[in-house]
Amino acid sequence: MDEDLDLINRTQAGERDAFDGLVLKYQKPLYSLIYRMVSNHDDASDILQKTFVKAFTGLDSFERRSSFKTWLYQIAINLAKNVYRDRSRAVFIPLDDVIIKKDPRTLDMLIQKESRLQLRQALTGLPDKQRMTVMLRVQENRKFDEIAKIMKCSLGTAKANYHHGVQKLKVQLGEKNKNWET
Amino acid sequence: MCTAIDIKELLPAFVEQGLGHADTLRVEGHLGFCEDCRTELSLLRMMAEERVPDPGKVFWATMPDRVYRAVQEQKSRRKPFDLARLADRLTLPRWAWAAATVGIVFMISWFIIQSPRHYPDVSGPPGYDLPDENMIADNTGTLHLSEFDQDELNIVDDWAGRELASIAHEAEFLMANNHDTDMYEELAELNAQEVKRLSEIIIHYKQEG
Repeated sequence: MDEDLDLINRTQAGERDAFDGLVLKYQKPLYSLIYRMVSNHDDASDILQKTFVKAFTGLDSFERRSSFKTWLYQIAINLAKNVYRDRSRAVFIPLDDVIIKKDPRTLDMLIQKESRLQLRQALTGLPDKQRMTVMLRVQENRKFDEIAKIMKCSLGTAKANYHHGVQKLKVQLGEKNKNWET
Repeated sequence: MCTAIDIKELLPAFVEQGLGHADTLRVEGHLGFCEDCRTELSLLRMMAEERVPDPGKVFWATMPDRVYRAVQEQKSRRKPFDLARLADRLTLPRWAWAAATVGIVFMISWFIIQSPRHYPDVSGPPGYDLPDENMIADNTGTLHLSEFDQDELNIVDDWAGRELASIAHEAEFLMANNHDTDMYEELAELNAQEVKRLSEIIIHYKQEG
């Protein structure tokens, strides 16, 4: 945190090394997050660059109460949302269209056959906030309090979004179907 | 469906092996009998194992330079006049508007207080109209007798004699009867011309003994 503030101050003072330091420090975790949202390198690369540009051109508006990393995540998520929404409109799969009904396999079978595509499709069907919260918690290993700051919501809301999201994924991927069978 | 929310919240950390020994044992114990949580754990593992392809060293190494150039380009680009941006900049907090209002009211009050005072018009002797404001020097109501010719002086003298006669008589009467009266009150009611005229009369009386 202090290291970030030092780099930010030096960046504002025009030091190129500090600028590069911030980019090098956060480019990989940001790219990972963005890639999981947009699922292709070209968009992820473009959004990553835009995230940094937006952050550095608006550095004066950065309130130093929250961490720089959280602020970057907020910018990246907002930028990625637009691309994600455009794409999800094209390949939208409604939540009620239970994939499992067509091929009623259990989750274990899905894992065995590495049907990750279905998982991605199920993630696509989640509401934005739930999807982002699940991704941040499970794939980005962010803690709930950090997720709450990134998503600009309360800790309770972040946890609720996570639980609802995971529950819907389970339903989508067959758990509900399995229960019916049993 | 399992309602052990506290266990479910520990599952992501369990997947990444970030739990302490006690919590790990607790989760493992729960998973031993809860199928719902085992299913959820499988789901989380599948998600966590989703790998993001590495774009390569060149990509990472050139990113700072690309970002720097884009930032410089954006900064150097001239921004057109944007009314919305201007309005946005004018958006001030309430206390700032209140302070500005108080300041404006204070300034208006200050100008009102500091504006030149309007003295009452000095009425001239009857039958003689003051020609213009040149007759009134420095805007205080003082008449410069040196500017009058002899005829004008005579008119003024007649008028002043009539106007001040009653006061002079009253003063003489009071002095003659040793009346204890505060003359300052009477004198305070005189205007500048009358005071001047009175002082001339007194001097005149003194000279004549």
